[in-house]
Amino acid sequence: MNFSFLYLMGVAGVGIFIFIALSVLILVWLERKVAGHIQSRMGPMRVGWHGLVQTLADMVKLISKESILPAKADKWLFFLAPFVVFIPAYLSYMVIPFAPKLIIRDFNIGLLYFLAIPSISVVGIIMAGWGSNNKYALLGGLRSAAQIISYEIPRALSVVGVVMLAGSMSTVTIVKSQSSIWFILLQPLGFLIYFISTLAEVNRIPFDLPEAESELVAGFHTEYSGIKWSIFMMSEYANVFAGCALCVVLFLGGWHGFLIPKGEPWSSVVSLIWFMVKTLILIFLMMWLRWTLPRFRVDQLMDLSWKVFLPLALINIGLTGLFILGALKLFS
Amino acid sequence: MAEGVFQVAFYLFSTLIIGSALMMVISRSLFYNALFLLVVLLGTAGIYVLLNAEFLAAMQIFVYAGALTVLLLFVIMLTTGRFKKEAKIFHSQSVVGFIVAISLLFLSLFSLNLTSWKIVVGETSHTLQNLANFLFTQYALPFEIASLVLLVALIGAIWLARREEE
Repeated sequence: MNFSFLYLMGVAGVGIFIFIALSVLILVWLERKVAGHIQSRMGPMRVGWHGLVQTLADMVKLISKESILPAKADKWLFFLAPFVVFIPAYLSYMVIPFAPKLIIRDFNIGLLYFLAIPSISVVGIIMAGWGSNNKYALLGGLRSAAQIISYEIPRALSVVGVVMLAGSMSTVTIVKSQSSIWFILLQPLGFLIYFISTLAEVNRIPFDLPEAESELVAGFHTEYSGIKWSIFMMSEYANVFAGCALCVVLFLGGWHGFLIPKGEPWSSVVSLIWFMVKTLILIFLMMWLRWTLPRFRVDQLMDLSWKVFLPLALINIGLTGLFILGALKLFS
Repeated sequence: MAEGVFQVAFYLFSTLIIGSALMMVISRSLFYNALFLLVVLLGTAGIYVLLNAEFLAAMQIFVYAGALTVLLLFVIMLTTGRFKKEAKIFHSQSVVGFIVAISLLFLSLFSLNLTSWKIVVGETSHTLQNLANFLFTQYALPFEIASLVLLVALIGAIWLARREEE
């Protein structure tokens, strides 16, 4: 280890940041377009081709806006909360393998890292709710904490089947072991639980109770404005992308696909395109769900997690174990 | 070179842990106490990473930083009315607390000195596999007992929280 290592990490850090910023710009535009077309309207059309740079214009507006600090808010908590939410989202990009060799760090326990890191951002949401000194923000923070803790458990259990099949927690090894068959075919139940729990983890409709506008104004970020509010938005979309990307890694074969040339210099570019297309399809699915379904009630949300997903995830682990034993018996 | 980076990282984490542990005790708002506890736990996870125990570090973040601290903050938020006035640092239990703390410190120093630390040299990259092997073979019984204790605590908590039926 020497200083070139630190230098490389610095370059990677800046690279991830630029990637997140760009993908958020595109995803926000995409969300508004999808919403528009689902509701039989055009969505943004004015700025750029079909409103493509609308988000950039909005960004300039948000940065130039006044950042309001509520009179009785806790200054430190209020200021730090957006960053405590954003940094874990940012760190989770470290273990996503976009293409062969295109990964920042291939940890031995990469998957566990990915599942553990976002739990810190809950603390940021609670800090925002408490620091704002506003009852709606406080209730939103509480709901968010309850929801994320509840869905963390089925989410973590749903990937155990994949770990058993791949025999590793390294994200790269998991992708490599799907070269012949994607795990969604062997783990359909795991995929379903993982995808729906991810929807709940990133607080999107039908699970967006922490910011249910008809009850809580805007939930934990009611009091936020300007650049601090946009950091919350940015971390939400960064989490959406990371969650979908990991879903592709775990169940949809990662960078694998057909028509990938072997040994050519552009073959990893084709792999990267495969990875991005799969991730975008999942993100589109999330947006489609968001603009189609109504919101759950709090008790329904908790029932779904504890009484449906948790037992199903446990059954899935048992079935996977039997499947592996059967396969071992058959082929040995 | 690697040694130097390691040492700098170790001292950074240690300062972070000790500093925020101190702040956790001194700070007078319960909410801040819980947040400083989170920093202590994250710093400990950092030390685990330096010791090549990535699995332990991830579990530390998952269980302690993620679940435990959030639960603490949750309780503080739900019972906010009761803790409106700021917590005092010195009160009637200070003397007893001081004695307990000092004796605990000496006890742990004593046991640290008595234990002969075996230094394991060799393959450490498959720590997760080793851990699983030990847990399900050699230490299966203690592992099961620990799970049983947790289960009893879980059922007890549900029993206490349950509403009396008419």
